[in-house]
Amino acid sequence: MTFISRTFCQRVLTASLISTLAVAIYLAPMKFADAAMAKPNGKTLLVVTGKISETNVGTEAHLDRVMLRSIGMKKLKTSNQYEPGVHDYEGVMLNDLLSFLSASGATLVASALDGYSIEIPVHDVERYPVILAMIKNGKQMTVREKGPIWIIYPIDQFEELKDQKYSSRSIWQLNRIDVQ
Amino acid sequence: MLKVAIKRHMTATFSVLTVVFLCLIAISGLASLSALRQLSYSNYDTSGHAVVQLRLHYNLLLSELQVLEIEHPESSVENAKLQYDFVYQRLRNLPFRPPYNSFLTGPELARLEQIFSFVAAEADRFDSAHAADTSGLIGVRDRLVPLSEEINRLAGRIIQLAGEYRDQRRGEITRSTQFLIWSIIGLVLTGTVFAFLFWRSQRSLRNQNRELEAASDELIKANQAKSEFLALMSHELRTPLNAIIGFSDMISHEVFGQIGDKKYIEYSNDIKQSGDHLLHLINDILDLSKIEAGKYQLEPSHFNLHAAITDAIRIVALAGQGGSSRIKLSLSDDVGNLFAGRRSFRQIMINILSNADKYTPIGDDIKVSASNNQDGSIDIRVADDGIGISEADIKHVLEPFGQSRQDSSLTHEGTGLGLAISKQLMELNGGTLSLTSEVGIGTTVLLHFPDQFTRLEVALE
Repeated sequence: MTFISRTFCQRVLTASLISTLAVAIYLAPMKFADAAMAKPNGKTLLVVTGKISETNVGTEAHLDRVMLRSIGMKKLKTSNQYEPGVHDYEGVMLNDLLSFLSASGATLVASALDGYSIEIPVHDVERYPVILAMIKNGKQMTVREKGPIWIIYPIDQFEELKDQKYSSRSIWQLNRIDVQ
Repeated sequence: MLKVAIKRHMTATFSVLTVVFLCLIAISGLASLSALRQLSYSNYDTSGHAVVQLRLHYNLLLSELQVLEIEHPESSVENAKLQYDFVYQRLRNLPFRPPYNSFLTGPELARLEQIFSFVAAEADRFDSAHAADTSGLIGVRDRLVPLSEEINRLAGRIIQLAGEYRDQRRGEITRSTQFLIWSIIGLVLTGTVFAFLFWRSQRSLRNQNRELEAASDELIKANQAKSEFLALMSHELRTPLNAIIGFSDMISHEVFGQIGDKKYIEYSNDIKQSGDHLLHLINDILDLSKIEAGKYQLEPSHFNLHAAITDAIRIVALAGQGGSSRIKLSLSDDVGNLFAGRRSFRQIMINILSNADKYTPIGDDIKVSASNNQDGSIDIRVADDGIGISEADIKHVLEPFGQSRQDSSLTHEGTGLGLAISKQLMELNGGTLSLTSEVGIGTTVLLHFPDQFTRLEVALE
């Protein structure tokens, strides 16, 4: 009685463990596939690393032009310190990108193609509509025109953004953001 | 007076100086602020970096092209294309970039454009190059190397100009800040000098006040001493005067037997009259001295006005020239009692009625009236048809020993103190004595006793 009972118990326990594991193994890829970002089809324009929840290549988020556009394009008409005149810029709001990637850091370390790197407080992005401009005056920006991405602050809309420190945060030829 | 004028002049000067310095502070403060704002918005401190980076990427481009020509590795194509893009972008923007566009000369900007067009001419070769075919890029390096030296020279020049530009901006801030500091120092100095002079003038004003107070105290003391002396003297004078009056009266009445020659009686009458006049004068002086010395006891009380006036009329009529019948008294029905110093009122009435009697020709009337005013005050008027007083003399007759000038032609008996004493007694009672007169027509004296009810209340407290 005792023997039968013990074996029975062991079997039931083993079977339930195996079935749970099987269901888990079966369901796991589906669950991950739901949450995971699609991989970029086109050329990667921007790589985001650091404290982000949404990734598609290892711990990084690689974004091509289509993916960036899908987040939502915003327009911004402003001048800047590096070029004369006022221009129409179009691109993704940096804050929208951070939400899209469920980022949770306080500082963004932005790097350019030539290796230049600066720090942008997330506070800036939350307070002002800072955009990752990809289009200038209706034309896609190439590397020769400070593209493919140029961080643009709305300095004509906010007097305080005329301060020099915001100009130095307007990094061009951007290709990488590390959320810290 | 001269000192006051100088002080006023100085105050104006300091006010102007203060305003000038405040304006200077405001102007230089604004200039400093605007220069600092300018520096904060566009300090171009890093403006030299752009050209340094151009040089860096130009040299990197040349190196990548060299590697490409020697080894043809795949990675070098992409690297060379990227470096070319960097150089292209920087050269394209340099002539338009502030503050380069403001401090580079026309020929220098034109040369930059020229260098850019040389470099831009190679764009197609880079665009068409790929890992499998790098032939298009062969020879590019040889065309770009000669520009390197010129780019280096321009870079040096730009860095130098950027430094000068920066120093110029900072110099502006330094100058406006120095100006601000000097303006503040000027204001502080002006304020200090003004405060010192103000303190000094206040001190001298205090000293002057002290001297004036001391002088005023001495004057009061001297006046008190005079009044006390007069009171004492008057009192001492009355004693022998009583003997003179008494004995001369006895002589004129031949109390101890007849006097041989009647001339003696005439002389003794003269002595008595002169004595009476002197006694009257001394009594008046004594009263005036007492009032001035503040020793006159008013002792105010309620008394019947009608009785008091009638009493005074009777006394004047006895001593006067026209008898009591020509003094007409008319009192309005609502006039009952008066609250005042009774003895002083009697004295005032006798003085005024005597004057009226003295200066009114026999046969003419003297009218005395009293009325109650709406505000509770009482007015008593004594009007005569006498010789009158000219407007210029009214002020004199109210001063001690101030008889009207007309007296010199018409010799009237009197000390000239009656009206002055009456006026002062009225003031002691809280009232006023005023005169209206016309020469040849007559004089009206108005005694005004203010609000009786209030005075009574005050007295009862």
